[in-house]
Amino acid sequence: MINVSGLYKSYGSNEVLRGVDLALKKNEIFGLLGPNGAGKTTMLEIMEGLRLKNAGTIDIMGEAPEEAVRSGIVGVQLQSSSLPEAMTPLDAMTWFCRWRGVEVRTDLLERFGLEGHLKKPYKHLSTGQKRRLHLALAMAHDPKILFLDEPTAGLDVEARVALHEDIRGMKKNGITMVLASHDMAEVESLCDRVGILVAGRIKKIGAPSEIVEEVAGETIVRVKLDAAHDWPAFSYAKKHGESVEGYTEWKAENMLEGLFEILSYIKEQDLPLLDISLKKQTLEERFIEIAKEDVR
Amino acid sequence: MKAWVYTIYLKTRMDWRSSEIWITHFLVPIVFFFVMGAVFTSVMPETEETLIPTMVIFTATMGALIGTSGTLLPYTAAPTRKSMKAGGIPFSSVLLATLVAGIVNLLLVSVFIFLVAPLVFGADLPASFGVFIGGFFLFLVPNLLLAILIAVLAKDASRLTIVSQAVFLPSMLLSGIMFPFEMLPTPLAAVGYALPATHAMMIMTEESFPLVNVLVLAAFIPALLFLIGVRLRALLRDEG
Repeated sequence: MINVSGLYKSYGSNEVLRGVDLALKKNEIFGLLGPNGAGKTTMLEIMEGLRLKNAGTIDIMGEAPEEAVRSGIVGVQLQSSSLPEAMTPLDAMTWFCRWRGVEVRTDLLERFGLEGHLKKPYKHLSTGQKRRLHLALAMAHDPKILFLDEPTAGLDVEARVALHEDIRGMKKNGITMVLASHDMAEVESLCDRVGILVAGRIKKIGAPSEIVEEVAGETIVRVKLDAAHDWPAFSYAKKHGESVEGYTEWKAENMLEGLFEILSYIKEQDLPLLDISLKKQTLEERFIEIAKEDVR
Repeated sequence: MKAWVYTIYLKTRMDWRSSEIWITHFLVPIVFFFVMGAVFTSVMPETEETLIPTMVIFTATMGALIGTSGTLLPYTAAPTRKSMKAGGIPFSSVLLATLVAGIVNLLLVSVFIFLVAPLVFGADLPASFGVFIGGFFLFLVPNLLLAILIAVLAKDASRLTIVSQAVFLPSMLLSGIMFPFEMLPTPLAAVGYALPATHAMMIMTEESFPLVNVLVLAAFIPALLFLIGVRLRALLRDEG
């Protein structure tokens, strides 16, 4: 559906993308994750035909990005988009639909909660309303592929949940989506696969569960002792643990062995245990770890 | 085709929602016409002969350079350009719409001046109606193209204002609409000769088309289109 090979982009000596390879399957939702400045927006905008690449190839259903956007195969919701201040949502929807050769989709404006603002000038719309308008414009011509850059930023909870339902609904209708987001929970719940972009390269790629599973052997054991005891002062904790919000955390490669070892130590030392819990890593924690690995 | 027509309709409507357009295309030219018409015809009665072309050229120059150029800025801003490109909307459609909307607005005011000047100030009608109309359109189109070029070159509103004024003021002072062109010092006359307004004044006050002035004005059109094309290519090629 989409094939990206050896994508390279630099601004002068600043290398933003350093050889990205990616293959997207039909009807999948692909999440693009990365810390600020990792090159997510640059990568998306090259795939959307808005920026030029220095090297590499991009094939979107047999078309170059610019042609794919022009022909309507692709729909694009940008992170930073704007319209003239006096333009109303109805004007904008009519304008975009005329160029796409489709009926005016006021139904989409209603679905995104803009029915009461159809004739309100763009400058008087809230950030969330503007974002919803641009999303509706991107979806107006029923594209086969949809690029969504931070689609839920600025949306309230209700609109966010509604948009998630829309995204799932579009997937059921066979639309392929590329989603860049900072919201890990969103990515984890919506995406079939994610790619973690760090310093211009895809460091990890796979299903969210697979990426977390890579460290499935690791379990975090969290222990809290009576505040009167200076737990980190104990040599065991100093050597093996990390103090986090009043708890001491260990990464145990084997859950049972780790737990047994720590409990034995606590019992042996007769320490006043207040709380103990076990926890698996989330995608967010894994993402932070991967991003940090590159910095190291 | 429907999309192009809708873009022209939308841009014209957007312009009519803009107070700047009402001021620069309608209010100021009409007020200026009444004030200067009264002053010119009482101080120098012979200006009745050229009052209509003078006021029409002023209207078209001010409307295009100060008014029309400003209406393009919201579209040339990067986030809007990107949104349009992502929506499959060619930027050239907005430029065409700007040109047509400018012609419509400035034609309306010019017709008003043409009809009112003889009644209120006893202004003479043009020596040749055909030459006057031909000269008007031959002037209006490159004038609006010049405004578009300034808008696509400007990086922000303040720079746009500076450049627009830098073209507008010489157009007023050196084109022969305020002072007789023949009386200007040679260096200033040379500058004036490079301005579309000068050639428009020379055409619109004649009985037949002066070939040189027609050719100069006509030559502005491909030259300005070429420069706009070069700028747009650079602007739209890489939105980064």
